[in-house]
Amino acid sequence: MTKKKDDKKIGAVGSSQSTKGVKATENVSEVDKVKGAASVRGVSGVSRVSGAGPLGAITLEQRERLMTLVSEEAEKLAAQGVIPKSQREIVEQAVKMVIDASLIEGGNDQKKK
Amino acid sequence: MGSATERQRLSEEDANNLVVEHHGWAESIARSVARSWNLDWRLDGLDGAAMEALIFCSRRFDPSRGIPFKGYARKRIHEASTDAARKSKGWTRSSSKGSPEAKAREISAELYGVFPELRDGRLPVHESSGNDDSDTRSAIRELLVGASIVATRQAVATDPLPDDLIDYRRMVGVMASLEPLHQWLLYKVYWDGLSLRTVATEWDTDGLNVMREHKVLIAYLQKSMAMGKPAPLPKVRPGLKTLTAKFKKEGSKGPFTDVLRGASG
Repeated sequence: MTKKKDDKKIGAVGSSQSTKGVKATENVSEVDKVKGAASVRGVSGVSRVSGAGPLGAITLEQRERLMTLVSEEAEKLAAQGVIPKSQREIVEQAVKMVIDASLIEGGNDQKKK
Repeated sequence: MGSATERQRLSEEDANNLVVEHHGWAESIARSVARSWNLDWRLDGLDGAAMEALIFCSRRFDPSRGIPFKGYARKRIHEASTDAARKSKGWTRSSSKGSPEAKAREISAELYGVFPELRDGRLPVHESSGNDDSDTRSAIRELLVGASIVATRQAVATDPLPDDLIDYRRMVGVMASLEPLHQWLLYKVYWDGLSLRTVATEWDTDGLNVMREHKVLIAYLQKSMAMGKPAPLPKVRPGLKTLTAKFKKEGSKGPFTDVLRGASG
């Protein structure tokens, strides 16, 4: 009999402790704050822009990559018939020239001092 | 009120300091232009032109506007350098006039008129799609199609081969299917040599309206040329609709439609 009483007491204490644990779920409200961080997705877009400077900004370091892209796109457009094949070489060279002349040694915003 | 519109100039000493501080940068612009067009930046006079433009800009610079000096001066120095290059002996000396290199140079020089942002070191990207690589490729395609229009027009204007005439007819045919407003936009840019910004000013509208519309038109041309027939026509964006009404009132069918009618009639 005595043993049974003791068992009941222990059981009751155990359940009340777990109720305290439910209080901890109040912390879930802090998870809501993390949801606020989901709006940081917008910031990732900003960081992309800030990495490249103003929209469309190109630098001398990107020169080789840009020239390769011009060749690739010229090839595609010529294959589609958008650029006449007789013009392809001249048009590709013209675009390479105009991009190359826009790339300045020392970058866009670097100051010497 | 008056102070907001008053222009502030630097003192002569400050302006001279700007020149001293930026002369190496101005030279690098001249060198870039010379490098791309295979010229000698000193022998062909690009150094002097860049320096003159730098001095001019230092005298005109208004620091109260909040624009950094480089942002203000770069386009002008670049323009002075390209102008000097086109007038130089090297422009005609290093390659015969009809050579592919000479043609490419002429086309590239015209592209600066259409896409002046290139002088600032920027590709024609007017709004980010969120994918840098895609934006860069799209801008390059815009440049290539633009260059192709210039090449076709130049070829016909000089000594056209039968192939050139066929290409020209094909391109004009696609353009003639466009709304009059769209035809005029392309005509003003590629035939009259106006920049997109200048067209926007002439039409009293926002520059972005015209730039975005131009991008749509280039995509349309690309699609139509690839399909071999006119693609579904692009709609005129709301910001330009008043102009559409104006062209309709004037009874204009568009310059390319007129060219085709003239050729067939």
